[in-house]
Amino acid sequence: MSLFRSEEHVSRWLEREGRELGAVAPLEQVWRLACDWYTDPRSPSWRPRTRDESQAVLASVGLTGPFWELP
Amino acid sequence: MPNALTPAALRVFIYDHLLAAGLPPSTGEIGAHFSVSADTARASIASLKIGKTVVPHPDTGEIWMAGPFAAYASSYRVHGSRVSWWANCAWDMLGVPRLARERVRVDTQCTDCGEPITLDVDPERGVTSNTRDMVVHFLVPARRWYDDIGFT
Repeated sequence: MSLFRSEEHVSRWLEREGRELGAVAPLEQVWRLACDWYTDPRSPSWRPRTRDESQAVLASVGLTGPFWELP
Repeated sequence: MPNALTPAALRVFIYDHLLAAGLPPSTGEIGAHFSVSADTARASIASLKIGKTVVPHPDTGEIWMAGPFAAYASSYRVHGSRVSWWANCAWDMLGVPRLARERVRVDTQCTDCGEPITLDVDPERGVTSNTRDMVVHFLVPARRWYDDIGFT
């Protein structure tokens, strides 16, 4: 997951690297993802999320569709 | 009385160490804390079912990643008021202030052109500096994120 100045820079990098486009998300959306994804592992109630719980976190910030389907 | 090496105790020790020192503890430091050998500490990291949160390095068994923190020099340097950390990726650089619970400054660059980028991030309000059109590119689809976590 790499930071770019804009989508134009993503396109330039993909062409130069010979790679296919994955998915692009605005920084604000990735911030909301980080908020919901990262809970403090030191909390007594912490436990690893299930696959479905992780999928729900992705969906809750609008990351849906085949690209975002966890295994 | 020695500290019992349980999954919860190990998680707390790893993240307390990370937040205080900027890097995860070595297996030697884990061993010293829990009064076990470094080899036992290494095995514990690998087998204590911390899920994908703490990932040992495939060659050394030392902690490689403890999401969202990296134990190696990455492209995402996150500076707190007293400590600086490495983040694994652009997603993780935003997770660090959430766990550190403090304002941070991220030093990174555009992956394409290399232009330096500095971001101020508040643990509650998010990025407070001007992000203009900045985006994050996810190269690997979610179904393959954990096939090769280093590449992802």
